[in-house]
Amino acid sequence: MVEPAYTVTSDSETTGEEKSTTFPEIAIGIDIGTSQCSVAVWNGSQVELLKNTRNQKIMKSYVTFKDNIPSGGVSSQLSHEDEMFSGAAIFNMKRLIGRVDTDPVVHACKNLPFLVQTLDIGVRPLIAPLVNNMWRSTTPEEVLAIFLVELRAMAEAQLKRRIRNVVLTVPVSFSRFQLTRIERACAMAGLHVLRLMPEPTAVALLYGQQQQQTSHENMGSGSEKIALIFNMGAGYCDVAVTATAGGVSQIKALAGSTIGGEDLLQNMMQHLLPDSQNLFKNHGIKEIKQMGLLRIATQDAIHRLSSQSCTQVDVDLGDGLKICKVVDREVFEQVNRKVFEKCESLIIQCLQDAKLEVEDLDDVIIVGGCSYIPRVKNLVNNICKGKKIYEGMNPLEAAVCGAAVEGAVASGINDPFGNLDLLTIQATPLAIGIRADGNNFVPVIPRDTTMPARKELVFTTVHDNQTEALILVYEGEGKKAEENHLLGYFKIMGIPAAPKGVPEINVCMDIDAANVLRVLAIVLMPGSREPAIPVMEVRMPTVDDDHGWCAQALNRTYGASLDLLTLRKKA
Amino acid sequence: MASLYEVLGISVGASCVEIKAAYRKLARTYHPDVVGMNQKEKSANQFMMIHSAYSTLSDPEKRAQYDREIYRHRRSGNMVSMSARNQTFSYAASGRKWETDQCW
Repeated sequence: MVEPAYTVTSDSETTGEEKSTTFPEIAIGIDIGTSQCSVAVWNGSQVELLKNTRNQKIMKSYVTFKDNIPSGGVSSQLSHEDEMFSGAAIFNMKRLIGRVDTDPVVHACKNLPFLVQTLDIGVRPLIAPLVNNMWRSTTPEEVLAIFLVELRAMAEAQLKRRIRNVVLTVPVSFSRFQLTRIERACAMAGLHVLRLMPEPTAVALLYGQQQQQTSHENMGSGSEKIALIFNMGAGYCDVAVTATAGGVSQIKALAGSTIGGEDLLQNMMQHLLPDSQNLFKNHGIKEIKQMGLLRIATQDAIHRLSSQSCTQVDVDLGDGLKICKVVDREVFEQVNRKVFEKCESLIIQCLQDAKLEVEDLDDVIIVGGCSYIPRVKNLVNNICKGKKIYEGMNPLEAAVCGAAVEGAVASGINDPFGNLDLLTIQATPLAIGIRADGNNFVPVIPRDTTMPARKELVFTTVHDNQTEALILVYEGEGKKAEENHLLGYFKIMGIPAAPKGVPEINVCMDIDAANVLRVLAIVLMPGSREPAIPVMEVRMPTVDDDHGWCAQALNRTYGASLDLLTLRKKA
Repeated sequence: MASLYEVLGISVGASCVEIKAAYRKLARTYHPDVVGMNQKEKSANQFMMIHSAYSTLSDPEKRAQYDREIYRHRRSGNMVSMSARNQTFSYAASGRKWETDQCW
């Protein structure tokens, strides 16, 4: 077995591109899920999932810290379940990465059997495993990096070559901060990210490949096929609508939210032990053990409910705390009603955004760990009016297989049978815009805009002789500015003195092929086609983390003195 | 400068299926994912122009409006302004080449 080396390489070492071999290196596909992960690669003729030394294709996403040697679910021989009782195992990194301590998702993670400490001011939470009765701080990026090092070692041992380039799948709802953090974790593990693919778009690519193979067999009757992809894992729920023909998949719409199996589990735990939050608040050794026991018992019960309508939870948490309850599907569905309603609204929203009716769909694809839950299948089925669910995709492997196909395509690999003659035209998962018209979020690049993209909107001053304006760039879906992620800000100075509403401030946003976002501000005065002052171009994000308090500080200092109003949409 | 039909290389009477097919064919040539490392920026501009032509012409309402405009402008002899100009950004001061290369 390859000895994992937990070295942290600096960014500069890992981002420099050098090609030493004449053969293109095939990038591997990695799907790091909230609870499970897998690695796949294009082997020259098809996608192959890689296995660890215990012959597993799907591994648990966790890292345990013992003494000075962390070890992850890829190589570890010990059972995850036992280690959860000790507080030494860290998991759910994908839910924690790139989030600040005011985020409700972070707060929900406080019920996990390790330490998640928040100060509720908009900074990073403190995350720590319990090692030899000591809370030892770590970060989601570090945990992820340790895990990626193991995955890399596993892939290198099997493929007998060095692995550098990867394609990773990410949830649709990930902010640009979360994407940067994932890239950072990869850099720490010595991996270069060739592409970060929203999970359902990886599935869309695989679907596109399958459709092309079928149309080849039918002597190329390449008519357009429209598919709805519903992906629900432990941490996130994503929906996409794709139109594919001749190997080209156009992503028409995306929708996503931080809901998943983890929420179903927590709601059930809450149902079984209503006082659990209070009981476990201290996070002592005893409480952690109890949390772990309750978690595993609940998880097992949920799994059983996928195949049977009723089950018994029987667990002794110690200290005279025993839970002995019968739960059936009805209870499970009732307890999680809100989660399932959210799933439904995501599908409906995605169809609306794609400007399609259910009747327009050729295929409905359900993937992800939660796809085994009868209620999940039913809700998709109901919205899609009983349309048959697409077969021919393994729900747990589809995303990683798509990532592996993309890895081969993006590495420039050719397939003699045309199996890699594929292209996915991506769309923006979240809107990007600025704060204007008071405290509103005004999107400049709306959600579901085809990438690469370039859009502009014209704004103007709100005060007479206003010579400065503040551009606050946000990403998200909220109507109010502060409901979104603040990506960065800059000030325009030297606007020629004029009555309010006269200067034209052109805000142009550009997302290039590598998903890099640039924001330009151009000041024009009526009657002139030349910019009145030098154009400003700022690459975003300019802030390190999703620090909402930056906006509050700016507001305290400047109030509405540097505000902007929407003038009109440029034709 | 080219009309949206010329951008996609199709006739003014092209059907919806023809528009989609032309768009896909061009995407396979000009999308930044399929070109070499040194051509990404240029191809991004080209692809955005292709996509913009496609999104206007594949929407029956937008296409009808565009057809009306192109007819009016042709009559007034002002073809130039009917190019895909509205999708290009000509702020030379930005230091970036925002005008799409004239390869149409």
